[in-house]
Amino acid sequence: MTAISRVAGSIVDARPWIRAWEAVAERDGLRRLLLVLPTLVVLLVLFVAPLTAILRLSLLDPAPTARHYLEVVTNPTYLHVLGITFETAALVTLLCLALGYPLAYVMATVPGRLAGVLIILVIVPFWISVLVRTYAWMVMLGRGGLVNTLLLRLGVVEEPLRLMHNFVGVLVGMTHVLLPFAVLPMYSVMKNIDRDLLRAAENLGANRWQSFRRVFFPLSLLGVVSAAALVFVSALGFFITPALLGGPRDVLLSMLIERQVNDLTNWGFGSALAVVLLGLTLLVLIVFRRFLGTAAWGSVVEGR
Amino acid sequence: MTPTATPRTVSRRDFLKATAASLGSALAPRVFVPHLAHAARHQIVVCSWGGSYQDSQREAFFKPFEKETGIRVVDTSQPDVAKMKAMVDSGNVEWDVVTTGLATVYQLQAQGDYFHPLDYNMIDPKALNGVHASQRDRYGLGTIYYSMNISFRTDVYPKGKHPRSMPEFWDVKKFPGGRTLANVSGLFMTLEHGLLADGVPFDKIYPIDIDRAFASLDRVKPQVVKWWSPGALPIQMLADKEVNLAIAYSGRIQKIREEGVSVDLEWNHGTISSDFWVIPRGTKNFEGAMKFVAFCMRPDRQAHLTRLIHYGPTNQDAFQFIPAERAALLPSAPQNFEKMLLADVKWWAQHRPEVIKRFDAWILK
Repeated sequence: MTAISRVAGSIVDARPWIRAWEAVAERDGLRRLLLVLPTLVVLLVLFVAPLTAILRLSLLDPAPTARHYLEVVTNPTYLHVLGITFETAALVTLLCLALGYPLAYVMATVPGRLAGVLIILVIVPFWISVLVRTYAWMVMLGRGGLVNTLLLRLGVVEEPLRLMHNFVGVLVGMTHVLLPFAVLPMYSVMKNIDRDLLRAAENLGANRWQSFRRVFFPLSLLGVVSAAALVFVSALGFFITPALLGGPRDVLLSMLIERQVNDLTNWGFGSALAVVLLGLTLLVLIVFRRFLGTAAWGSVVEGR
Repeated sequence: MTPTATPRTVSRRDFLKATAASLGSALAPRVFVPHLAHAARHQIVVCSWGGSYQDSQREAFFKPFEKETGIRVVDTSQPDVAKMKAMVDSGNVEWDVVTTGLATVYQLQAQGDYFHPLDYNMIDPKALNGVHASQRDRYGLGTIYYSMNISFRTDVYPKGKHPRSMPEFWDVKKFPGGRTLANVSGLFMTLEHGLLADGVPFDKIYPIDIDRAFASLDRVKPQVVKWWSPGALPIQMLADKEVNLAIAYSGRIQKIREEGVSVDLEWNHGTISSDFWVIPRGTKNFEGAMKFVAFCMRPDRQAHLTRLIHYGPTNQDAFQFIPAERAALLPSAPQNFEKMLLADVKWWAQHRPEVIKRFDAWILK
């Protein structure tokens, strides 16, 4: 048999498969299922299974028990730390939005080449490890650091300010690490806003501020909401940055989880803390979706 | 909260995956040890703390051991207690010898059976003559002494005018300004430091009066800028002049002092503890592991290590091979040892969860 006929033969052989796929393809639901199947399997194995194991540990380690959860709820320390964790995440989210929105706006409105440069500048920190960036901030914020040296030289302050090992350090470090997560979703939404709408508004007599406030801003809200959700959820699980830049009272829940799992090998209780954090995180996401999400969509649809 | 020895109901392999997936890369296993490592009986996998410590161990222990016995040493790092637990629980033990603290050993032993008792018949008893009884444990042999000491910037407190005891270290009128002390979480001796500051003599420290220790810590708390946990942090804070006073590891202080940073330490009222060689339950080469542990106890080997890093030998016979000026820098040199409190790790193994819980609440108050 020649090579050509062998290839032809294999094509002939493949026909039943193609026909079968076409038959499946006609049934729309099944085809979609097949398309998402690989992702589904990966999620089941790498995400759902371990989460189930954590849930089981929190209830079954070392024997069936609810005491881990009771401990979380009744010991004021853990509620206190949960409060600090959510407060920190909320403040970091606000800072990221406040700093990220103007930046995303500039990126979405400047000419293409400059926008490209700005995007690279936003993305570059992604390639540097969080630990390295945190240490860099320690060099910047220390008593003999760059910021304090500058302020002292300029005579703005008489003795060095305490800029780290306190809440300021936590906010600066976390905001810096999470800023790209805020900028990128806002940028991509802003980039896709139809400029004709702005021109139409201006044709109808709106000045630049009015067209921004009444057309651009409502349309960009969707990006703001997804940026807020991304930053807030990531901030809830932060560990290295607050541990190094924070002060004595800047204890986040992830630090306590790490200690229970890694130092005390108390996996049941560590898992219970993790499940509580996860549950509250999901709750936050649902709230984001319910209220802010639909509001943003609503304004898009109604064109307010 | 207290660990019990009830039979396990959940697969630990699941948990390892779970930890890695949900807590992120910070907790994920950092090294990959090929299973083939165990294919041959003539090699052992040794897990230690990495960094310059493991570099020194490689010169003083691993290489000479390979040369002398023909048993290959595969070295890997970070003996996380959680990883050790997961390995033994899943029956997939990749390490033959591990260096860790004895408190970790007893903490895990309280939860199950995680370590292989050493076979002392395989060690020449004479070779252990210079080893303190506390370092000859059922589950391990002490390999190095390390200490935590009052450390200070010499440009602010010239030697002689520095805090010479814990009560002085606590005295914020005589020695004003921020300090950094160890966070209790990592089994650092902060409660002991508190009791020493309160005037408790060495022989009355254990069992620790927890209330009294916290009452003493209350007094220094307003001056504590940071409760550190990675050992590099107080060193960096002293070097960057973030603080002028710290409780820090002596070995790391000696290192930056030799590198020219204006710091020094006070041996008096320090706390001394040790790291042990232990053998996890389920090792595939117990005999090789025992040979390795015995080898590392040899005075000449321990002396070699002290030439490379500032840790003290656990075998006092090693000092006959160590020059006096070097010995003066090591925590277990007799003149330094006698000024320090030897940690009672078994007390810690029992009380750690309770102390940590209290510390977490106390720190937020």
